[in-house]
Amino acid sequence: MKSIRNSSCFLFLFLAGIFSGYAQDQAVPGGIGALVQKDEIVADLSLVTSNIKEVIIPQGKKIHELVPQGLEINEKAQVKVTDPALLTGDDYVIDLKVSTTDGVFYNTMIRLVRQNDRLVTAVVTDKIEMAEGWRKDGKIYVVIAVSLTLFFVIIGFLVSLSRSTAKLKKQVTESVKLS
Amino acid sequence: MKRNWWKVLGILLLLYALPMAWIGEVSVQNILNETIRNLYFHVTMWFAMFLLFIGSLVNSIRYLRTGNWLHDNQAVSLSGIGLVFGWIGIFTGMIWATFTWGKPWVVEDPQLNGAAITVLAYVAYFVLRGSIPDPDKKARISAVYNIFAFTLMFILIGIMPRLQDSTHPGKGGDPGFGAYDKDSLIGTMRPVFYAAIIGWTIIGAWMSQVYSRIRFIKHTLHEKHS
Repeated sequence: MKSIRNSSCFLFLFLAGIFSGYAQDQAVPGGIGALVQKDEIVADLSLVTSNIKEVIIPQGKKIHELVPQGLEINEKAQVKVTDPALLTGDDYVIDLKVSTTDGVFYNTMIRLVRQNDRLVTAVVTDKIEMAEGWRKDGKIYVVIAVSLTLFFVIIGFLVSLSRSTAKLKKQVTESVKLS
Repeated sequence: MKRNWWKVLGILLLLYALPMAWIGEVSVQNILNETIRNLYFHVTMWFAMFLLFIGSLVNSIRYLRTGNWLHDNQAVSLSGIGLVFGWIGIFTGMIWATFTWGKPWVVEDPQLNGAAITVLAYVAYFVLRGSIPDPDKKARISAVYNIFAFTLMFILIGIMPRLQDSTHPGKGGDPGFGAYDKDSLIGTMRPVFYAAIIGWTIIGAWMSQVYSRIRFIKHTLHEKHS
């Protein structure tokens, strides 16, 4: 994937549950839900990209459908626990697309994994490369002017070709009638 | 000017669509990046080709009903220019694919192969015409073949990609860009796309009109001298 080579990738690992994991000697059953508290923020994209504008919600979806049940996500891409009892799995992946206030888009993946008695949160963001600056620089309009000139010349040629062939057609038809 | 209003319409539509294709707001997609703007150039070629081939089909049917050479002439001219658009579609698609799919031709893609067969089917239309010396037979047989070629194209580009997995958008479903037109950009991308399709189709129809006139002149001079 060429775009990934060019884009800035961040990989953030933070061991959110490291202390709670050490505090309990015995394995806790019941997925990652057992390791987190209600209202605890388990992942926060604003730690990676500070100026998050919004989470892009695909057409026909609602924001709560982007995260598994038991979790909640807000527009600033902070993932909060709403109900630990629903988080029975050991591995959750949340794929998101977010935009920032300066018009940059990121594909992001948040992964919540239970490893032994720790909750490991991984956040990967991948910037979607777009030509953000080139329109602001203004000179793109020069390219538009040049390409439109090209277009006009070709159309002009088509017009003259169109006229001359119409005239020729008329002449040929008339000369055939006369003979 | 009154009879040429549709040409003015085509130019105006492209005067709107061409700058917007460069500076208009587009959907931000991974891998595609800015190349999504090719939607306004590459994809419109195929739509214009399709519409020109419909025009050609209609004229072939009209020829078979009336036997009027003028309809055969129009059918040939429209499919000739449609074929030019098809070639442009193939080559622009190969450039686009090189930078997004990593190679110019994805062999297992039904839509790509369908497009290639379509173009070859219409090349065969002209080969067929060239191989029949008798003008009436040439017109009649090629008109029947045109109906076959159009049906083939409709199945290969219109139906098959919807049934199979494709690297084109909307695999196994709608092979359009509607799947990408999310992020609340429906309002900004669609008008430019449609304007470009209609604009290029009109320019193509105009080109085929010129082509048909040249063919008419040739035909008339040939008849006069023989």
